Formats: sequence, C-alpha cells, structure tokens
Amino acid sequence: MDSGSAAAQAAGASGSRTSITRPVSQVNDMIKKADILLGIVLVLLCLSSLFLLNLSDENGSIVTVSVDGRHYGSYDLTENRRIEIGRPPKDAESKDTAGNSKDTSLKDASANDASANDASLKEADEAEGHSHAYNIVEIRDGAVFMAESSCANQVCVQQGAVRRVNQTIVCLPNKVVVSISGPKSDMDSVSY
Amino acid sequence: MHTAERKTARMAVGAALTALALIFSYVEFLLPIPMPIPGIKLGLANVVVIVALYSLGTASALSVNILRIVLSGLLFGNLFAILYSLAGGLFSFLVMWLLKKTNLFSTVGVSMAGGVAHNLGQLTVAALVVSNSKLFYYFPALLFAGMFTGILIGIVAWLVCRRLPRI
Repeated sequence: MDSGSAAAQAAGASGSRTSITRPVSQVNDMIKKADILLGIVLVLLCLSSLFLLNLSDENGSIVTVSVDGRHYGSYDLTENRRIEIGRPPKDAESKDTAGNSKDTSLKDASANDASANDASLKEADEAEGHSHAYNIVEIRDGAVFMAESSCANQVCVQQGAVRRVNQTIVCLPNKVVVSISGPKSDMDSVSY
Repeated sequence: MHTAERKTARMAVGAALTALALIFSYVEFLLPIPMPIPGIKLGLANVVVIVALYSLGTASALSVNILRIVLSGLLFGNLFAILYSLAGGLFSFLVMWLLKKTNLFSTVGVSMAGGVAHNLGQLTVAALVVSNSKLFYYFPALLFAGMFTGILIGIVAWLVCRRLPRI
C-alpha cells in the first residue's frame, strides 16, 4: 500500500484492472522511460568495459595456469601438450605410495616450480576434504581447453576451446584458472 | 481483512512462493537452458522473488529469497553453491529493492538491474575464491547476460504481477 496513489494515477491508461478487485500497486506500464534509460546506461557500460578490458581478436601465445591464486605454470600455446593438475584417479588410488610416487604433472612444468605448487594444491585439496580434485588442461592446434575435470558442474569442460588474448577458462570448484596472454606478456603483474 | 488474518495469509502465500521458487530452481537444475556463455542460467526463481517483492513487500520477499537460496543449495548443490547464490541473490535483492523504491522503474527495469547485480555479485565472489582478478574479463559478457535474462524474467514477472492482488 506504500504508493497506491502513484499506481492509481497511471492505472487508467494501462487498463490492467479488469476482473480482479485490486491488482498489485506500481504495476502499470511494462516498460517505463527509466527502464530504457537504465538499459542504455548498462549497454554503454558493457561496451566501454569491453573497450577497457581490451578483449581483442588477436590470438594469444602464452597459456598461464593458476591454482588457488598461485601461479602453476606458463605454456606455449603453439605447442601441443596435456597439463595435469592434481592427481587423476589412477594415481589417487595408491594412497600409500603417494609419498614417493612422482606426479605426472612433473613432466609438464619445470621441476622446481611444479613440485612446490603441487604440494600446495594437495594441501588445499585435503583441507577442503576432496583429495581427488584434478584437472587436465590440453593445448592443441593453437587453442586451449579443459579436457577433464573432477568438478561436479563441468562448466569448464563444456566451455570448449579458447585461443584469443585475455580469454579464460575457470574451474571454480577446483579453483583453477587458465588464461591466455599475448606475445608481449606483461600480464603476470596484473594476474594477482 | 483482520490484521491477524492478513498476517496468516501473507505467511501462507510466502511459503507457497518459496515452494514455487524451489520448483523453478529444480526445473532449471534438471533442464538447463543452453546459454552461449558457460555457467549462465535464466534464473526462473527470480520471477518468484520479484512477484513476492511487489505483492508481499520487502521483508517477506527477502525471506522468500534467502529461504529458496539456502534450501535449493542444500537440495541440489553444496555449501559453495549457497555462497555464490547468496552473493548474487542478496546483492541483486538490494539493487531491486532500491530501484523499486524510486517508483521510476517497472518490473522489467527492476529485474534487469537485478540480473546484472546478481551476476556481478557472483563474479566478485568467484574472483575472491580463486584469488584471480582475470575473472573480470567475464564482466562484459556477464553484464550483457544479466541484462538479457533480467529483461525476460522482468516481463514474466510483470505479466504475473498485474494479475495478482496485493495481499
């Protein structure tokens, strides 16, 4: 009842009071002037943010993978490869040998980096109670896609391949972010 | 209507709307409508929230909103799903409530702003969770998607609201 008077003023024009005793107040025209104005403002905001974020058509050259906010590895987009993050199911089964068995992801990233990051990934996983979390990122023919993921929603896998600068693939449940940067890569400073 | 009677009626309608919102969430969970951007949903349950906002008022609509988020999260998702939904749902509710208060907008405008706010709230929480600001490259796409779905939901809410009596 807060603004019945405002509703009553415009009710005649809309003709919405047909058979029902008292319709919801404030529901008159489907689209008002302010709605259109707001729409225009939002479209402008959308276009200007597109411009500011520099989402170009340019193909990228470097794939950066980060896990839980930490840099996991950078890879050449022109080089076909599979990047395994976390433990795929076959490794996870042998828990007793997990300590001395090398993770397959070690082959892909530089040894020092990967072992440190891998340990932190495991810690994060165990803290969250899902120790089987894993993702497989695949680079093929100048594009990158999420080949496999242990997450429930599979949004990252369904997204398909990306190849342009500043495009990203995100697996929220596993906190994995795959992003593409251009050849003149000063993007690492921005990514945190 | 007597005050106590009116209160009971509002409570009953609020409960029915919450149940309806849960059904909408479930339908969307079972049959996701394909969207060009990964992870985007139409947000059918938001029709119920807008209808509640216009027919029951702010307090009841807020409780319908929170109840449907927590319940659908527990039923079809997990704690993280509830966190994301709450971030989107509450920010969206705040924006819709403020716009409705101005009396300048119809349900379409209110819903459009709500859709955008919902996506921005979720994007912000997602960026915080993965601690990676690169997620904001989704900003334009999510803004546009929020507008598009918000307008559709707003039209449906308008069609419903004009046929409903205010309780």
